[in-house]
Amino acid sequence: VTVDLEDRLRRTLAAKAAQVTDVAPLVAAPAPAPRRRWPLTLAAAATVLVAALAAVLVADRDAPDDRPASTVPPVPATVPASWGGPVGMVAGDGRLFVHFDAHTGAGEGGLATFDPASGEVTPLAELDRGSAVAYGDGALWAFSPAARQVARLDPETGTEVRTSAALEGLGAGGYRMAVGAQTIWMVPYDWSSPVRVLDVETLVETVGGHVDRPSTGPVVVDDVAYVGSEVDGLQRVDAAGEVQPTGVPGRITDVAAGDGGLWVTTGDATWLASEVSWVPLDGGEPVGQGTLALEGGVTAIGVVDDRVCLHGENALDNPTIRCASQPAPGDPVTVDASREDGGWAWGDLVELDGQLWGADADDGVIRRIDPETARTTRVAEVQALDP
Amino acid sequence: MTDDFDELYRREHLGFTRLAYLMVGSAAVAEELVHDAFAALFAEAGEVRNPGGFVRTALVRRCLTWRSRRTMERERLALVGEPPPTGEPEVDETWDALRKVPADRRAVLVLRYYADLSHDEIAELLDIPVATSRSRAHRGLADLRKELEP
Repeated sequence: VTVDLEDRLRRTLAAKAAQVTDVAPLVAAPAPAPRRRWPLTLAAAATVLVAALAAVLVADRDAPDDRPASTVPPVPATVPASWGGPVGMVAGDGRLFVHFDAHTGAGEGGLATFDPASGEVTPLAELDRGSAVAYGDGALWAFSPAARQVARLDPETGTEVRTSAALEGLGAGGYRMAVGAQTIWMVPYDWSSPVRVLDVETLVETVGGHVDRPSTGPVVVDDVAYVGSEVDGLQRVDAAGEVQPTGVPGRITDVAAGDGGLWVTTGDATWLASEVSWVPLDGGEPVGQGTLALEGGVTAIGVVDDRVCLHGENALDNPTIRCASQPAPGDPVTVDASREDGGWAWGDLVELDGQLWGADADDGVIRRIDPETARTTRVAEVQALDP
Repeated sequence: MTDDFDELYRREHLGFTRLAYLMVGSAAVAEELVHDAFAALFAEAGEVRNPGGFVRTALVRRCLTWRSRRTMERERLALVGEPPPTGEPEVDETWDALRKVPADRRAVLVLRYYADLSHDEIAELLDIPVATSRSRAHRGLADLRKELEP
């Protein structure tokens, strides 16, 4: 029986592989270009930091983690099966919302409210598959790639209060969205479409500039949004959609707003090594940064006051939460709490009442993270996953 | 270096894309992961002794973890231009079942039964013990059998 199954598997793999013939690459082969290098001043600063950080790295890696992550049984919750799994959370107005998306198959998506005290998940609104959700300027916002519209949602009922005109010339891969300073920023997942900005009152759109290979963001600080690039470091996008480099280099993997600055993570393409940096801002301009090299990758980031927590993996590929405090300007970052945990966060970690929250579409679990200890608690488990 | 890179890309792109497709189940995502793996090689600026091996290792690692790294959002791209069912019931049923096998076990199955790698080679590629490779293959076949049961 096993031999039959093995043969059947071999035939299947060969037949399916043969279907991949001349599929055109999403992008052309990487164009020949000089290897990007940091400015000499930054390189020199990095060299000095490496020695200073070596002891920190060793201390972090060797720190015992004798207290396991919490295993409190989560509260079961249900949403319509067509919604798929929880792919992210949004915080606003003292409340938490869970974004669901059936990223494959025939399902759709949805938005639910989440009660952190009881773990109760209550469906609020249906969304088109691939929608983007954000909270800003006192309202919930959703972008539908199917309708090509941005809608303002009533956070109590989930109903559409106002809807933009259909946006023209959108990219095929969907958008990330952030709202603040009377502006909606939309950054494409694909590598060739421009940034879009909309006025929150008029919902009139402006087609902005391009970010080369956008990887993360937008994150709104004051009246500017910051967007990470896989090749061009951290970029700044103003309310008119104009894109400018910040001078923060690297293959940006995550960015989050802190108190007076930004937390920025970078990582190599194989996710074997990464860095986290605290980047103070002065008038929107980076004014030096403190950095810590990390083994493994960073996949999600969350900030509570002066604490940052990084969700990712350690050198052994185990999902890990690592937390650090905001350093003094110019000082390196020091991870002072690190714990392995069995789940993954699919969207950014969001803050409510001094705790961070993340959702995992693989197992449907919503977790709470204590930023002081990096301890996680499974608070709710959504029963309906991918249809 | 650029000529060597271009030659490697032309020679291996399709093969790597097929391998990635079987591991992640999406041709579009496979394309993106292959591109990223080649981009990682390019970033090394000629400092890699075995470029093909470097790309394969980078690719397999990305195939194993891509779902966990927020690239799920890019899975939406998978809705565009996917290879259709083959029309052969046995193949299509097995493919559907294989897509439900956990990623780490599925990776071993693809490397073993498509790439024809030994467990020693798989263990080295995935940086896991040989025994783990064997157990993942065993459990992956068990998963597959369970999915195919009427």
